[in-house]
Amino acid sequence: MNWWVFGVFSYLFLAFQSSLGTVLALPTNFGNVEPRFLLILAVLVALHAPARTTTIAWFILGLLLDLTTVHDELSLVGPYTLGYLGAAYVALQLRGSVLRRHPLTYVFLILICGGAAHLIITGVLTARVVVYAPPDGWSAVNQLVIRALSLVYTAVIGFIMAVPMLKISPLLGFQPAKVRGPRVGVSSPRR
Amino acid sequence: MALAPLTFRRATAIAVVVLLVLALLPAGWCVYARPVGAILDDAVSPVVYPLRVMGLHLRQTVSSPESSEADMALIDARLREQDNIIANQIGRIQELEDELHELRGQKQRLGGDSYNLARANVIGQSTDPVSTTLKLDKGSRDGLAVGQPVLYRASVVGRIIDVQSRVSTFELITRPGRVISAVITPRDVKGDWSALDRAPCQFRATRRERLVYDEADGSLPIHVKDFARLQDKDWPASVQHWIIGEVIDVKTSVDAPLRQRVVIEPLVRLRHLSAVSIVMPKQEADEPHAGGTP
Repeated sequence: MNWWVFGVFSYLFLAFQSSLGTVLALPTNFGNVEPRFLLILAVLVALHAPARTTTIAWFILGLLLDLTTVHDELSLVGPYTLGYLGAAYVALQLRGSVLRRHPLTYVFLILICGGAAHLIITGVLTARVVVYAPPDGWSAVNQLVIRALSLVYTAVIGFIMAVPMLKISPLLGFQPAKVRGPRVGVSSPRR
Repeated sequence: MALAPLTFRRATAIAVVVLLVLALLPAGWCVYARPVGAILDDAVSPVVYPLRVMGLHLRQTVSSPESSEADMALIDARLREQDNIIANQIGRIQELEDELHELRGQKQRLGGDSYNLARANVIGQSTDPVSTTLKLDKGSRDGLAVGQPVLYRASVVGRIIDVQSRVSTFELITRPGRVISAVITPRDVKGDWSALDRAPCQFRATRRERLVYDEADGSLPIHVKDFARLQDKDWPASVQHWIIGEVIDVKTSVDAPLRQRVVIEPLVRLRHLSAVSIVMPKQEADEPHAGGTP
């Protein structure tokens, strides 16, 4: 993968998330539901890049989210990075059994991997609440619900963006021959 | 003793352990991320700010689409719409006059020699969907400091919680669970409303960007559109009695008939703010300090 192009894409998707998140927000009883643009980029990488590259890329994206997130007046490095590392593992397990160029694959992976990531994030934040005093209004259930709704919203946006993402994926310099799934009669190379 | 070679798998395991430790550090130690985060915020702001402004403008346009000129019925609807716009504008002028009056009163209370107002653009928001913070393009070098109140027009919208040299973060007053004291005053009182002698109410912020108080005295004449004014010792003196929202609903409590449930809402959609003002004591504004987060 071309890391320079990945850096530019990360920058743009982070900017989309910081700016368009509010614009596209849907108000609900649980809070505002916003799409997660970086997760869409992460899924693109997970579908096409080698395992090690995928892990590093998801780590970087998680770190970016941690650094730009404020949890109850605190900036923490950890929740998102850990969540995205866990999600990268889930994505690597699943990607062999999906059609990589199908738009619905994005929906599926966003829901499953995003679900895994946000379970870990909520788990880590809940652990902080258990260890330290909970902030006013903290509710793990509300966190999970709002994050789940955000994932569904992201999946819809991901479905719309799937075709353009596939078109721009060659810019990232993936090597399809090395990451293609197992073929009948041919053992898959170890990734 | 020779160390085992550092494989990718081992490095990942070490990273996970380090991240877990970092994530569970006490609040006082969590000061390492903001300086880096501030650099990131600063780096993405050239893209975020125009995108945000364009997006909000687009959202406004889509939510009130213009009529087509092809169809007579639509033209008729458009004319009616224009009539509504004129009526709205007249109402808006009245609102602005009220706001001007409010601002003059607040300026008088603040005292022109004691405070400065600094204007800052909102350059983004926290990337976490459940967070209620916005980021500003001004920081400690512009005189901003933690705890300073943030205003939009004549209302208080939040308070600064983190300051870096070029960017800062403020938290909205509607953070779910936040308790804030305010007095309800009639909207049309132009003079000294403090003569009304109203007791402050403990409003609690809900997840729908509203503030609710269930225990208001049922005999109090509270009406929809009344103002809620900040009267909270946890907030700086400079913003006491500033408006935090207007009453949008008053109901007699089902469980306690002698009590009322009052719901207030900020005057603007707080998450859609594009520019705000910060109240700074004058010496801080005149002598910007270079320090970062305390």
